[in-house]
Amino acid sequence: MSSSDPSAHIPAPPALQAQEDRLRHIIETLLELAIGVHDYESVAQSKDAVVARVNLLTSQLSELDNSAKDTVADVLVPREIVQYIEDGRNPNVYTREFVELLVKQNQFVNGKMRAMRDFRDVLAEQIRETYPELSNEVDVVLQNTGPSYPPILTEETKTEEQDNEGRQ
Amino acid sequence: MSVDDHDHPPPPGAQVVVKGQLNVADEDFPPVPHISENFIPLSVVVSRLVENTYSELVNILETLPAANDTTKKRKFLNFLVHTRQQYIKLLVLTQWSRNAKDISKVIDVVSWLSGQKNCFSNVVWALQAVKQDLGSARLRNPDIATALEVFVLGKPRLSSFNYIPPKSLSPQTILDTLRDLNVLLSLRLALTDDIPVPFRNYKIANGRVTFCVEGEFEVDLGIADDDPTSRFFLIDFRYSFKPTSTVTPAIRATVERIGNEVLTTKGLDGLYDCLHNFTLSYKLLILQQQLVRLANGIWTGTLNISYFAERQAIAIQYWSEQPGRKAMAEIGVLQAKVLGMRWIPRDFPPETFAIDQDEMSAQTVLSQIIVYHIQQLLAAVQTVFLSSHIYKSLPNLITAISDTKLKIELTPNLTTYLTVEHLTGRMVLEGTTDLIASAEKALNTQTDIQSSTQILTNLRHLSIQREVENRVNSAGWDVIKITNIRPDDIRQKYGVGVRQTTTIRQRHWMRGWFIVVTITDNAINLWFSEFKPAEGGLSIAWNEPLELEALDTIYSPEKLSQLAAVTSARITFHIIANCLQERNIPYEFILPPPDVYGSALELPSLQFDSSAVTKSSWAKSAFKLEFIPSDTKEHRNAVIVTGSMEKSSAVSSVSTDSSDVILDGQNGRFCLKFYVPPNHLILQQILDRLAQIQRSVSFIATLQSFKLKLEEVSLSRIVFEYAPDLRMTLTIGEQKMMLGLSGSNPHRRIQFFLQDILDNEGLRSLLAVLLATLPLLRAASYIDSSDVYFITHNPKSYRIIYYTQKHAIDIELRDKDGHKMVYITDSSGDIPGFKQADVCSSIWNSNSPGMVGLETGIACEIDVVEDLLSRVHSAISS
Repeated sequence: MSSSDPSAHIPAPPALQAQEDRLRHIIETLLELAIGVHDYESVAQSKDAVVARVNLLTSQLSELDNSAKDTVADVLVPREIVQYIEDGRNPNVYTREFVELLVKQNQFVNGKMRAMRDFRDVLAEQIRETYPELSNEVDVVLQNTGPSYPPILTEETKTEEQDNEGRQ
Repeated sequence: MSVDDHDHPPPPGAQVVVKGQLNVADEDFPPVPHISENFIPLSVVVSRLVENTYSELVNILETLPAANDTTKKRKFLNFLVHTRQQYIKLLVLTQWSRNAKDISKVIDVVSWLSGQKNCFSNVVWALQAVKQDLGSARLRNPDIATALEVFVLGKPRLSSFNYIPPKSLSPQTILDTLRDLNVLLSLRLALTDDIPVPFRNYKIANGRVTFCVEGEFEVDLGIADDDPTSRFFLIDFRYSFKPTSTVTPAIRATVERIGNEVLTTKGLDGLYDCLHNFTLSYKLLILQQQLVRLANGIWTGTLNISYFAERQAIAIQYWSEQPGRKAMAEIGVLQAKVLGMRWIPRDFPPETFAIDQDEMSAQTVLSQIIVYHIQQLLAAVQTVFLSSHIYKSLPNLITAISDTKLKIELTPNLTTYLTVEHLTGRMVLEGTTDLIASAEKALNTQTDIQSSTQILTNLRHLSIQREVENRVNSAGWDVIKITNIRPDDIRQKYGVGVRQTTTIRQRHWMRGWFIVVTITDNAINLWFSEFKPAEGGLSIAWNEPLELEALDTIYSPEKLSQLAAVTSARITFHIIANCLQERNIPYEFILPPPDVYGSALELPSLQFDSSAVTKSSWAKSAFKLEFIPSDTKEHRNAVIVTGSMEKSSAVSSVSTDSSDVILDGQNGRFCLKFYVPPNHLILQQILDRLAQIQRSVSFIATLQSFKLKLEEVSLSRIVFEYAPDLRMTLTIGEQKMMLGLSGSNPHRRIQFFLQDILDNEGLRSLLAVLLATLPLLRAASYIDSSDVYFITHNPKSYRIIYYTQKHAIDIELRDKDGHKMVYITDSSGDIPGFKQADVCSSIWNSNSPGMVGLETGIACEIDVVEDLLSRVHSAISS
């Protein structure tokens, strides 16, 4: 991944960083091996070089596998991401879509909750008016279902939400 | 990242939504359920790939030796490239894994929120169910009225829905009801004072009140009860303006519905406003329909109508074919809430007109506006004219004879009228000449009113020019189209502002001479001019204004012929004067005086001193030249020369062979007439004639001094008798005189010499010779015979030769002491073979009075020479 990757700004945990370095080495070794094979001639020198590279690769692979079991076993990745990368798509797109979905649902549910609580208050008022004898029960229900909302969103909450979005 | 990212702990989902709002103990909330399905540990991915890579690598390395070099390489390389890609992907995955925890949490939260959404919709559904269930908890409202009916009547009294016809009312009932209604209405209207002003005129009949609004509508209202505050009901509605039209059922229904609505809310005032507006709109519609009919009828192409329903307005564009003059008018509702018309022309201030409210007539409206427009147009033309400089000189050129007609005086005989066509807006000039037609065209293509005056003035100029040409043409003048007079010359000689020039001339005039009629904006002038070709056209070589009332002259044939005469005379005299100047003969114009060209039609006359042309004194002082124009008898112009001369009977005896010369010797006057040739060069003729007269007169004087008898005297011939029965004829020619003698005249012998003397020495010498030689020649006439020769040497010397007798005699005429003597001598000795004539010696020696003997000859007086010679002759002959 290049430096334009937004996730690159987040410092990687040391275990992951080490893993990445190993992978880079493997990729490099594979390239060198490919060059070696390409330029291969039936002389002892080039043969030795290829063999050395193959050995290096083998040892690197082994090291990668072993260290992975120790360091990144707790790192869980969604299968969809694996498929994304397999298909050659940018995994950050996946991340962004998910975050956007979260924001949307968050707002939706927030609205629903306000509406419900307003409705609860209206309903409570009407019930109290129509059936004064139920007043106590209404109070209990209100008590149990939390306080009313202020009529509109305050500036504070708004800006916080904006901050949250910005951070995504 | 996620909203609760920096809120550890506590993690739960409620916090996500309304952070900080809930102060309920957070720790009581359950954590957001973690989702772990479909997640795999990164280490598994890594080890799978590593295992796979390793096994493939082993596989490749094992199978390599079996293949050849190139295949080996390719296979191995393919593997390596593919593997490298796999590891790059793994690297990407690993890098992404830095977010893995956070993303996992996001997924948890999203999943939890979805669960919440479901909860909400479940709640909504539950509420819906509660609402439906509540229906069954409602108490029904019992129909107590019907129940009572059923109890009382045993059955409900159901509506018949008008299927059963009601009982018909008796006429009496109707009448009574209507009367009651009339009374109620009268009372009510009499008692209320808030009837709108237009509704003041009403009548009550048939149980209804009819409000009549003049020129708009009538509306019938009724009432339904006697409460004075109760509302009216609209019953019927009619238009009350012309053209009468019926209210269609659909409109009536609408009016009724809206009217009744208005009556409930706004009462009579509202009803009036509503119906008034409606009527106005309807009137507009009627007008619009009429206008459209007109526009499709006779006004096709000249009228455009547009109807703007939303603005309650009709836009009318008329005279559409006249690009410059087409105008707009708009019919609409004025502020006073009546129909009116606003005229919005292009060149005039807009104007508002009222429309007859009682009768809607598009034709009237249209003609009202168009007539007004025409008035404005013509008034504008007249205003422009009044403010132009032309007006000051020609106040009568344009006069209005009505609002829609202007009278334009083109010439005293030709008047045209300017009107505007109603339909098309074209300006029309009455009249049939092509000039008027083209001016009309110009007026219509020229939209600028300012220039219309100019067009009309031009028309006037051209008409005058045409008139002048026709008049003078019929009076026998030639109209010559000359267009190349130099403009500078025109300005200089005729003044600025000359619009048209017409050149006319008499056919017999010398080339280059013309009368020029110039037309300016305010005057018509006549000029008498001579043109000469010059660079850039004709130049005006000579010019004299003719101070005449030009049109007067043109219209009067007498004045025209007078003009012809005078101008012909002027030309002739101008040329005479030029010729006189060339000869350095001083002259003077007597009439008109040279500097005053006043009373134009007077014939000129000129005089010059007689001494300048003749040395003789026969004529006294001056010759006066006068011009006689051609008259009906003689179609030639003539110049008469008069003068006075010495009184003399001799001159008066001169017979004039024609009436052209009158010499009155008794009164000492003479009068000569000369016809003017086409080139006007008459002076030479005059001078020649004068010289001729002078010669004649001097001959006569000479002859009279010799006391000779004049037998015939004329300017060309003089016959006189110088001896009994002897006559001489003098023919006076242009250059010289010829003398003539009859056949038997003794002087014929020396005629040639006589002519010579006349030519060289004059008449006086001739006469002297004539008288001196007469006796001698008379003798010679009978001496001369077949054998005697009478030889003439010259008038003074002769010889007689007698061939038979062989003698010769010389005769000589000599002056002796101022006295004429004839010497006769015997000259036989001069001729060989001749001898002295002795027979004559007695004669030579005779000494009678008047003779002197000279031995061989004799000298004698003239009067005896004839006798002497006969004696000599008879002596010799015998």
